[in-house]
Amino acid sequence: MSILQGFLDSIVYLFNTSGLATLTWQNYVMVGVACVLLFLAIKKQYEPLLLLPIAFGMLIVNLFPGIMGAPSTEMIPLTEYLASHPDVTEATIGYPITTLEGIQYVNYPHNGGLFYYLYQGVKLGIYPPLIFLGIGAMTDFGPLISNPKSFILGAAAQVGIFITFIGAIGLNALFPGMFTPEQAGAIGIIGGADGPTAIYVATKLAPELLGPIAVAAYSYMALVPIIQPPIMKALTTKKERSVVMEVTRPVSKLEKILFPIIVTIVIALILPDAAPLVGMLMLGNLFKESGVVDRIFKTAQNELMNIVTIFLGVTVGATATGQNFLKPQTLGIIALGLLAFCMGTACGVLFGKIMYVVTGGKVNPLIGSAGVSAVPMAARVANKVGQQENPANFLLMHAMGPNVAGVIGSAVAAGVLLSILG
Amino acid sequence: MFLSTLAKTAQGTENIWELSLNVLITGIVVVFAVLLLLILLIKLYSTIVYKAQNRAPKAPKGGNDGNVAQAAVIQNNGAMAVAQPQGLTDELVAVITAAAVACMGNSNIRVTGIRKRTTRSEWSDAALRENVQPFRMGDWK
Repeated sequence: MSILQGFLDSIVYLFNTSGLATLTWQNYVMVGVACVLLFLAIKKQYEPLLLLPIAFGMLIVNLFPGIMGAPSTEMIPLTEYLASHPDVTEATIGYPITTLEGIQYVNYPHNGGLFYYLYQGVKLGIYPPLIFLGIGAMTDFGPLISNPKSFILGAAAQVGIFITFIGAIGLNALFPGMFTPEQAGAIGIIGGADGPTAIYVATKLAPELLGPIAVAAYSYMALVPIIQPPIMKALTTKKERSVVMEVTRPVSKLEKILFPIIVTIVIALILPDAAPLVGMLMLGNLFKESGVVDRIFKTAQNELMNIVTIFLGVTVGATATGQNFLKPQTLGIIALGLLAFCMGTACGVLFGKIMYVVTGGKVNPLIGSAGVSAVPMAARVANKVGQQENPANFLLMHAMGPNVAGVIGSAVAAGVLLSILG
Repeated sequence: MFLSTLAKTAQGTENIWELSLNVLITGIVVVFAVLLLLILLIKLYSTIVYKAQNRAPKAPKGGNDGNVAQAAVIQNNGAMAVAQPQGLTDELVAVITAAAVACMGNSNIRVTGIRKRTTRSEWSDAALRENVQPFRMGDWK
């Protein structure tokens, strides 16, 4: 009989500690959201390298919130502790003892969950610069060096960040207290279309919004081929879209080696807050272009990048718990993120039109849309839209200039936001 | 110094709209200024590097690793001379140029160098062919 009672007690205990008894409806909604994101990542292949770990992190944290639990200390009365540990004496207890109101307590530590420790890399701003190291190792800045004017388009596309910042502040007029200036800055950076930069800024300015911001940033990056073309077509004429650009000059190895060094010196001097992102981006690129550290170069762009991507993805996803994610703010972030992408694209194309006029029709304005980073997706979109007018027109390499300039531009914009709001 | 002063000004501002406009103007101005500075610096060092590398054309070294063939087009007082190493005939240069023109749809181009892409030896090529042969798409049909 006692065996049966013990069995029933065990079953009741298991049920009470299981998710079935402890989870709220918000957790179940987020499990559904995670499953939708997993579908988009696997079936539709929308940014699967990041969306898949993010979605899985979201899934697991909503089923077992303790995986993100912080380490804690339980205060157990000393007498109770010694009674349950007969082989331990007060001298050999090994934990600090606190006395409160004449009663001695053992400070018994509980470790945090797995994701809590992995998340420290996000919280302390370590993973995004490491991702930038890998991106730098994979990026060819040749198109930008051969046509430095591309920087203007990379800068123009960042205007969307600041307009969205104003938009987020403006929402406070409709919904008082919806976003603080710091939160508005973290939301605006979604317009940079650069995941690591968005995460980096969000962890510094508004860590409480990290989950929705990361999900919005990566979702919109995956939707670049859908979001950008209508804007590009609406703002350009058929004649402008048909412009065939001149072949860019070849870039020497020495120029490519000097580029990351000069960019690092300039940015670190003028905008120290952007130095971790830009510095690591340029270090990765110097690994590539110097040609003397082949092993490190390969590690940066493969193994290290992949490992950090896993940690970053699952832990950022794990910040999207039901209680954090299912708020009116999230809807605002999703709407403002879309506005940021659209404004960035529009500003890039409009500056492309200005360059079209200034150069006497030598610049195809479509390449301006690639200034929103999202490497290389945005450049591919510019190429594709150009080829819809003229199949023999290859804009890809021309669009890569503003595209990689956008990466630097968004890091500079992040530095400005951190300088002012941080 | 400049930015930190602006930051203090912005953070001390009570009016949120004033702060927002500060961020908007500062952000746009600084992003453009930094990237324009980079444009100037890149143009400057590119010019210096280009001039330094073209000041004294180096005579091709004897070895030239056997895999690189170059046809350099040299302008000298309006006349063009083409230096061609072994194996690169006028006909081959013409064919490659025509292919490039046809591919790019732009006749206003000039071929300044032709380089063989492979760096493998004949033995490596043979081994590669041997290994990839079973995977040719044609075999799957």
